Amino acid sequence: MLTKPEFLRAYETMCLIREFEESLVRMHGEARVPGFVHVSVWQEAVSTGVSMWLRPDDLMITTHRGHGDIIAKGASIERMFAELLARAPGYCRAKGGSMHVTDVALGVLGANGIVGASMPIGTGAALSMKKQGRDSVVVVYTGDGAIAQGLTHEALNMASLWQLPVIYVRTDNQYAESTSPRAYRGIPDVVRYVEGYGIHAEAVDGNDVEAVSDAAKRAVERTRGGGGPSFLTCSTYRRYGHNTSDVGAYRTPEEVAAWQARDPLTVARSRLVAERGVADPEMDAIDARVKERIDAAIAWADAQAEPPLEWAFEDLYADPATIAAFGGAVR
Amino acid sequence: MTVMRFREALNEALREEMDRDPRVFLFGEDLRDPWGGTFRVTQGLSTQYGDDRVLNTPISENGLLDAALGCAITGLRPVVEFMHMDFTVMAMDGLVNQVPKARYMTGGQVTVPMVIRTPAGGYRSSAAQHGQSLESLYTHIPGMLVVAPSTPADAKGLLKTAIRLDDPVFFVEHKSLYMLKGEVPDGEHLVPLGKADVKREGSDCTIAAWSFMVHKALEAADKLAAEGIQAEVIDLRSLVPLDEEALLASVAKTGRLVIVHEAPERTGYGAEIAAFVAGRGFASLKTGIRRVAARNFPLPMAPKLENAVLPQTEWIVDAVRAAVEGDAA
Repeated sequence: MLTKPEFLRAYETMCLIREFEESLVRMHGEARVPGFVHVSVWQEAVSTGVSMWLRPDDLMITTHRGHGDIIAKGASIERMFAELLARAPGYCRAKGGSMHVTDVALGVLGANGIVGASMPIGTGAALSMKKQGRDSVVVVYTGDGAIAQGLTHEALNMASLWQLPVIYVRTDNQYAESTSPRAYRGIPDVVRYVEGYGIHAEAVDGNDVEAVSDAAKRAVERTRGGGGPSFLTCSTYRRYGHNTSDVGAYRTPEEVAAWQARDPLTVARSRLVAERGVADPEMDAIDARVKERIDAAIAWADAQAEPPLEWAFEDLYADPATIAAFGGAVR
Repeated sequence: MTVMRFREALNEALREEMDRDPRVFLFGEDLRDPWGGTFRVTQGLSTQYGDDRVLNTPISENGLLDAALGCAITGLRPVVEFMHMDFTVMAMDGLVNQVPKARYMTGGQVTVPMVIRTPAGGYRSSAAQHGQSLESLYTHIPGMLVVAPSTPADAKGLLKTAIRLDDPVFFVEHKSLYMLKGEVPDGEHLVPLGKADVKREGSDCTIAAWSFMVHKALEAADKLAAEGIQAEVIDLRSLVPLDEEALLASVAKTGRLVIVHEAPERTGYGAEIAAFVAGRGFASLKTGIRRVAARNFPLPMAPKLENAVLPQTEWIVDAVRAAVEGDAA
């Protein structure tokens, strides 16, 4: 259970993710955002609830649908917009884009474009924390489709074998691209599947930020306390299709409407008003503040320069000795 | 100078770098004693440094490579071993999409100090899945450095350099070289990447090779000398970066080039070298560039059949002779 200030803070973070994502959908429609964009509207409670208990020195790694996870860890929305709008101050110097947003200083090891890849890379980061005697935990976000990847099996086995400080958060938005779970899972019960590895697993209502937060708090405590890896599977839904060019024809309007009724922002807001005595105008003020922040961030990003051409040929190698081995210029 | 085997030189390089930097650790399948690695390269190291520095992994090539990447971007310096080069393709996502691109796609936020060692090569009747030379696959991926030494001294010096670099290095160790003895300089011995080594000087034709093929090229050069043809043998040592200047200088002297590699000819790294020299060194060439490589077939087990697929010393002799005699390539 969250305190009222924690709950309000969670609501504001969810709003921030919502507005960020909705603005991307809008701008993508206006052809202002190059490349593939996978948004996480209606999934905000998962990112937010999990991140509430992470320290600045805890690490996280995420998927192609990772904007919300990264914002919840505290990333600068200005630099995220700059990255997505291909501007020089973008997190990855405008070379990564939506699927590779990274902020190492903040413990964000990166989004990843390959389904399942966050699993072993994040597991390796957890091995690294353990080897270095650091008490940081690593949160590894993964999607529902990734459960079918061989990499997931390899990672879960290693995490269990070495009892690593890793918390897997599976954001189950019901569809692996267009494929429903009935069509790709031999065992429907993911908790049972993960428990087969000797890993503590819980199923969580991913549209209830308090439920996610409670489960995440327990997971962070047990994993940081040396209890080994944890796994949360959070049931939720994505408002839009797989990416901004998918209208989601594989879903029925009834199904979408049923999930819309459980929009995590609506759920949180009505609970704050009904159970925590927050007045509607106070909630409206949060919404307005977030909208202003988003508008200002987009305006700032829009005003930034494009990356200079020579950046295309930088950052491939780190070591001056490597550059020297290429004769002073990488070809 | 101390005479030691190729695999002992590699073991010494690992030992020296583990002594020098506590962040260096070994990560792969079956590395610990008493087994000590399938080709015994890591023998004694888990006993000396403990299991924390020499980690045996499950048979999970893709997962272990990505896990090593997770270590490399958070402050450690993994040296990964794949048991056979054929098994590296199980880790293709890591080798193509993750490790070489991690730095670039994050705009330089991470460094990937990682070495990926792997035994490679045929002539051992190990058939189609335990004897391939797949290095050209990795030369194709921007961000990956590719090294393939032919002598114990270079094995040691290049591996030490690779471990110290802040960039990923794919390190090819030919299985037929592990028992080869050679002199290794005493004390700190580092060999830079991107520098070829002229193994034998000659004026009539350049033979460019790497790894085990350097020895076949030298055998061929001996035979050619008996016929009065002086071949110059260049050991490229590192494929990425490639010592372009050494190639051009040699071809400027000899006017002829024969490239030898163990991998199948079609789209092997020889094609890249040929294209480069045909472009930048065109004015020096007196005849067409020739490639001596495996036939475009999988490796058969029977020694007689395998020798029909893999390059033989006589093939090199014939190719050089043809180049010198000016036959059409």
